[in-house]
Amino acid sequence: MNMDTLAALFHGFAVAATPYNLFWSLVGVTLGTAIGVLPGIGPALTVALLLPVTYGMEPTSAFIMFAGIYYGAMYGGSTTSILLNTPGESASIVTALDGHAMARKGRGAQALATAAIGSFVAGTIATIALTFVAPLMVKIALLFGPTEYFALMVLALTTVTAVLGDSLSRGLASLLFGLALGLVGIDLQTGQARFTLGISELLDGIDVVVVAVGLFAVGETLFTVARHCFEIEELYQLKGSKWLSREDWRRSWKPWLRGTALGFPIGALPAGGSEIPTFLSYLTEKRLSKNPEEFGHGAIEAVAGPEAANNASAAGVLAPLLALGLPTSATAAIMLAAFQQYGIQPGPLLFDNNPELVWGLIASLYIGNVMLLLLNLPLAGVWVKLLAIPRPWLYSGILLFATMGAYTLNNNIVDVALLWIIGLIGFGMRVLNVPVAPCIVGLILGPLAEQQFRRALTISQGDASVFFTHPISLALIVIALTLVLVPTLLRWRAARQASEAANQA
Amino acid sequence: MKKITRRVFSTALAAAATAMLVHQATVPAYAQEQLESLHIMAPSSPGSGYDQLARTIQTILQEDKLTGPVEVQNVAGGGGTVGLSQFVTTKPRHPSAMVIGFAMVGGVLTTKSPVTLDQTVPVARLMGEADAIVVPANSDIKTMDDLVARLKADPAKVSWAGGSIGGIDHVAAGLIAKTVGVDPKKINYVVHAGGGEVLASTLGGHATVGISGYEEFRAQVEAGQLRALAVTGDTRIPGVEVPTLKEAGVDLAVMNWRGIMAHPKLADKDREGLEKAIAALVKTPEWKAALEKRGWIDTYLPADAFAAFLADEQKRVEGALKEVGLL
Amino acid sequence: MLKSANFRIGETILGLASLGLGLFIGVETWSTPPIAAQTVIGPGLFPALIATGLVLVGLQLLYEAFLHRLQVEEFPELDWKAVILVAAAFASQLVLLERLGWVVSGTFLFVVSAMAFGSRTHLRNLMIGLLLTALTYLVFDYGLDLDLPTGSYVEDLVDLAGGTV
Repeated sequence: MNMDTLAALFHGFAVAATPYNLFWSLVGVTLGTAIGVLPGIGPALTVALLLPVTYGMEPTSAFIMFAGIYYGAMYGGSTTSILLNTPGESASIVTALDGHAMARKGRGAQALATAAIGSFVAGTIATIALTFVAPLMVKIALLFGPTEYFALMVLALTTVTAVLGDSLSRGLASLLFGLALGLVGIDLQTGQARFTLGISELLDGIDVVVVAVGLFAVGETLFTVARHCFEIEELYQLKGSKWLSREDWRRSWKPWLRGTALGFPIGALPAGGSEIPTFLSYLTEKRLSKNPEEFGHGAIEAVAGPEAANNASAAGVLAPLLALGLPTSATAAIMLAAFQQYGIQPGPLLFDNNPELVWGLIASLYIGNVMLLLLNLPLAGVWVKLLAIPRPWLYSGILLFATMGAYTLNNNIVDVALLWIIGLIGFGMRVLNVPVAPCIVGLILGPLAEQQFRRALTISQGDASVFFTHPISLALIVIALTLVLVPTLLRWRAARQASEAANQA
Repeated sequence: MKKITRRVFSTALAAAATAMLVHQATVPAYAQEQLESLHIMAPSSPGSGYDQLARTIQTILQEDKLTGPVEVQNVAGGGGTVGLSQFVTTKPRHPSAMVIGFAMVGGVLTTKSPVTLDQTVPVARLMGEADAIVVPANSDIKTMDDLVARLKADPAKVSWAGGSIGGIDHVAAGLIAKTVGVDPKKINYVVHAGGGEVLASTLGGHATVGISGYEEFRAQVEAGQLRALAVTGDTRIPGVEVPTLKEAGVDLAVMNWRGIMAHPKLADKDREGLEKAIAALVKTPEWKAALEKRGWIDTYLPADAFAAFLADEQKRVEGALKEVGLL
Repeated sequence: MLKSANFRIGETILGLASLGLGLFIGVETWSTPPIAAQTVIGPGLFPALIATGLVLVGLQLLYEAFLHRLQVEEFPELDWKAVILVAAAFASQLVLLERLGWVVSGTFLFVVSAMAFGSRTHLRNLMIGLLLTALTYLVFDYGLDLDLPTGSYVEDLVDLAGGTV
């Protein structure tokens, strides 16, 4: 079987490495990087816009280009997160936390580099996994039903413990605010509109990207303008070399691998998505780090891990798409539509019916990854010059950028209004020293957890024991509890020992 | 949206793609009565059913030069009602049309939208899509009769994985229950966010049955991983050996459909131009090929017949939504 | 002691905001009529839980603000005039964006916010703002076929002039 796979893969390389297909791959990765950088447009929309244009193209070439766009957008997304604190899509929100802090310390180039190399490492390993274990991955993925998903959400929610900040009550207020924002919109299970205040644009809920950009970019711009006459510190000034130091490499390579290990399987889950692996990667890195206090202030691990995780999840998404015809992300849904446009039926029979296309596509992923690395590493040096722009222009530019992204998201002004309101709230949170990350975690995970919880209980007809009788679900919940309880217990014990020691003294 | 004329493909997304686009950007000499340009609103996100239909129309109208340049815009939200209200309330600068369908009729009702389909002008119904009811290959439900028996024994024990609340899948499940004498309010319907999730839930055996468009399941049915019990349309899907509900003993036919509506302020001349273009579109071999590729059924109805159908359908959907307890 | 007093005001605001939001969600959820369809867990459970959480956290924050001995934390000095200027420029987008279009309203935002950051080279700011917005407008509206608004007033003006853009 594996020999066959290798032979097929070599054949795929023969298909993908023709000058014509290489050209389309290059077009795809370049376009993808560009749209990843622009806020408000993602790979899904780009592929949709290109669909009619590719009507007359060879399907293999078209898909090679689409795959390039998809991978490229994942690379490009980190750039604005790190430099401008303006995440273009939800998968790169976590990157902004420490990535932007690194940029503020003059380590923007290193943040971009670890993101690019991490993306390459993750993309390549995940593509290898896609090549050899996709069918197995998909079998495991199907074991996940609503019960298991809910347990996974609970596990991901423990990420919040890594970003709560110094004050428990302020961190919880932020988390609950995020959960509350997540309630807005039509309740999927009953069709009931909740907290939409009669505004029809709110029926589909509040977009995570609007909230993230509002809290991070707009909130920070307001805070900076409020403080600019009191501080003369030289933020953003590039310090030292642009390249990763030996120390940076040492601290990055394990997070890359762990991020990949989280990203690929979760990406392959039909309802896994790309945000959850980035959360889990952040949590893992903080828990394993010898210097957890650096997290939130520019820890390179917190950029390396999540960036690897979101790229690996992009490859993971292709596993159920190719092996089952199961679209698990917006981009995958468009690619499925594109398959149909060419009269190709993705699914269990795709590998047999269209081997040329499938293996050409998979081979092009390897090639695209190399192209992306070659494109993005030198670009990191160029992008980082953005930070040399004088502050009035830089921050005004960020505001423009944020407004543009919010407006083009759904073509309506309501998102711009939301961005502004949330920006003001974000400013208030900065002033009161309330951490914003828990809010984002709550907003993303709250609605997912609620839907899966209710789905699980609908199927079991109200029997809540399912969460503990399904083995996968039980295991995930036990891990989640361990992650919360063990550090708490350790801290409690340490505190008690300290006070006993103090009493004795 | 307020916007100035521009040709969809007049500029390239990337310089590299320019060469490909040139032939589409060349302006043909339009006949007098032809629409100069067309703006189609797809009230949902890229890749969805509305979007696919809008972009298929776009491609064919332009390729066959049935109209001038066509532009598609996505405005997602609220079961299509956000797009609808934007469509109706903005003053169009160019001939505009909107893609609608079964879900829009339900969406207007469930979201209590202040803007309704009556504020738009029917142009044509274009296609239909039958739902299929499927079970995993290893399920002990072998036929529709088995499913009906289970349903009658205890509706709560049969979980249905399907699409959005009040959508075609939900309504079809409710009507099946009602037809076999089970209270539609008692069905155990589990809402999923789209076809992919329904497929995953069904394949993984997390729900008892899956109900969604046949195309969602086609590959797995053909590969023998899922068993299709019935399709919900009036007739069988060509080339698919699955009985209709009626053949399987449930006296019901219900099908998803999509069509196109014109803006209320569209000039009569332009509306006729649009109707003509659509009438020509449905006769093209490209359209027939697109129908076949996507498993869509040709249910073309011209403007007047579509208007009559729409009036009936609105009443029927309202009734069905009351049955399942949504209104 | 001015700083610590300020801080308590902040803590109080946060507590009241949490409490208020919690009560709002609670009341809304309580007063929503139940639906007829069969559901095991209705749409009200999670809002109720979140509302409870917000109320509890709000109370805890107020307790910390009034009764608890706080560790004094520095409350940053703020240039409120600059904040209001930027916020107002941003708010103006809601009115201007769809009327005057992206280029004009975006340039306005750029110029005002650069001013708030202390830049005095207004003419140069204007040029940069125009360049940025015009460039993005061209890329989005012509290149990507996406809508950054042209502006209804601009369109009317163009109509008056009898041309098309």
